[in-house]
Amino acid sequence: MITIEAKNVNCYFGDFHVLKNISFDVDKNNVVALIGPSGCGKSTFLRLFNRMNDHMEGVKIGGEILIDNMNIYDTSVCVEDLRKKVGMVFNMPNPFPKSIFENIAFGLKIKGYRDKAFIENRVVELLEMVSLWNEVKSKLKKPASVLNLGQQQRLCLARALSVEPEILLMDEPSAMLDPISTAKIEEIIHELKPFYTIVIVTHSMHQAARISDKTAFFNLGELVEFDTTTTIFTNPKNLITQNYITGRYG
Amino acid sequence: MGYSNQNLQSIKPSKGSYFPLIKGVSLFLMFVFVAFILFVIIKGVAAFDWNLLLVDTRNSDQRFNFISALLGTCYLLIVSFIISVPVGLLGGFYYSGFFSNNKYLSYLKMLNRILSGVPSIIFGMFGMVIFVNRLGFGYSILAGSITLSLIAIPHVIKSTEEAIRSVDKTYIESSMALGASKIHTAIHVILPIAFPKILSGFFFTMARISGETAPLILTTATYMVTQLPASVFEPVVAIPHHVFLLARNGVENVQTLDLLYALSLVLLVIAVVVNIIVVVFKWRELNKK
Repeated sequence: MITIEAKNVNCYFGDFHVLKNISFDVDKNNVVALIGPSGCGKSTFLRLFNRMNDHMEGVKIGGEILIDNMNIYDTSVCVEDLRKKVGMVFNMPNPFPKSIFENIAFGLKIKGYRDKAFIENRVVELLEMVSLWNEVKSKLKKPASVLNLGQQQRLCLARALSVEPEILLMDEPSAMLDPISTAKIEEIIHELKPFYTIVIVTHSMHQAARISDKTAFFNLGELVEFDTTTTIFTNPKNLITQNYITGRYG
Repeated sequence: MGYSNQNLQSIKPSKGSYFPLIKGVSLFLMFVFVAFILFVIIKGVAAFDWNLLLVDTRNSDQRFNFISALLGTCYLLIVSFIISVPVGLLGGFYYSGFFSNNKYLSYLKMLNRILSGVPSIIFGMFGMVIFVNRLGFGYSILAGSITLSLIAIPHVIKSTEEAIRSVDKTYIESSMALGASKIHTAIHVILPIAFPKILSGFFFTMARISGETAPLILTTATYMVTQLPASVFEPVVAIPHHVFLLARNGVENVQTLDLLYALSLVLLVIAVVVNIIVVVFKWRELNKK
């Protein structure tokens, strides 16, 4: 079942043609990795799915992006509701300068929950989902900045999950993390896979190979090749993809 | 190991030939400043009398009353604060471009800059014509406070805008990505983070307007008032205004002169204390990270 469908998407920042005529679809409960050299437009593409590019200056978007068969750039779409459905984790761990508890309760309150006991239970559940509960249960009231970067990123992941999204967008979630923290994030992605559709931008091809079902290779604003991860990494059809995968280009 | 002392000295940057001039001017200014402070302190301490501060003479007919002046300043600042906080906050948010960023904003910012440079006596005249006479507030706390707020507002909008702009964009982005509305983000993310800076901006501006005299002469009272005001529609005399009214008596009157010195000392102490509070506030904010 197709969850995200992009049809002939073009994107401009002023005169700069960032994304060129991209068509792309993601099946439900799949993990799709977007790879490609820096500045190829993969992050911009990712940010189209929750309309985070709307705030950029001089942005123009053409084509259609459908999520569950609804055009998300339609004027009738409520951006706030869309973003609750399509969560996002950024490359730099950026918990709010609030307590660990408050960071997650923030999302629950946005979702509309007011009952204190419910929020307290849900915070524990969410922290368990990102395997952070055992590490932070004694310091829930401490500011999130006492955590290390890997823990902060997992906290951000729990915060993103708190608004009950169906799709998770991850923009290089382990770019700032050490290998052990990265492994933990990847483990969590595996655990989340049955419940969420995940699109992840990554610079690490090993990561893409480890966690994704399908991989899309971007170059200079074009979607060069999009296929199952196995095919991309063992038998790419395009020469540029092959050169990038093998490290001869990029 | 071939470095001699001379070699080490030779890498010192050249001070240039203008250096003695700069040094001279700086020393001269320092001397004037120190002399001024010492003058106020020596004369002030000599003339200082605790009765001036502590004895409640509000209901006597003694004309020189410090308590009423101090309370007058407090009333004016409190009402000005109440008026300028909402305007400053909303204006600061608007100017930061967070809610909407349109082409009028740069014109508005230019107007704001011009407004913050207007001499305060102009605001005083405006206040006298509009609030005192046209709106019928009379010479009163209300007329004076609104006039002071008008002087404060361009400054608090500017400082609030800067405080809001200094909030890390990633916090705003992650709040918006969770599906929070702009209002929710403003109240629950931006405001708590920018709060210390916003508050120190407000304090700084309040300290500034507490020294304003010209607009008060035209809006709060025309004569020495020692009665405590019963409402915001009654006249009041603030400390700088008090100094002005005393000084008008001239320097021949020795008693008045002594009072002036004492008052100046008190004003100086208040200014130093307020500034220390602001500095401590900023220092704490810097060291929180």
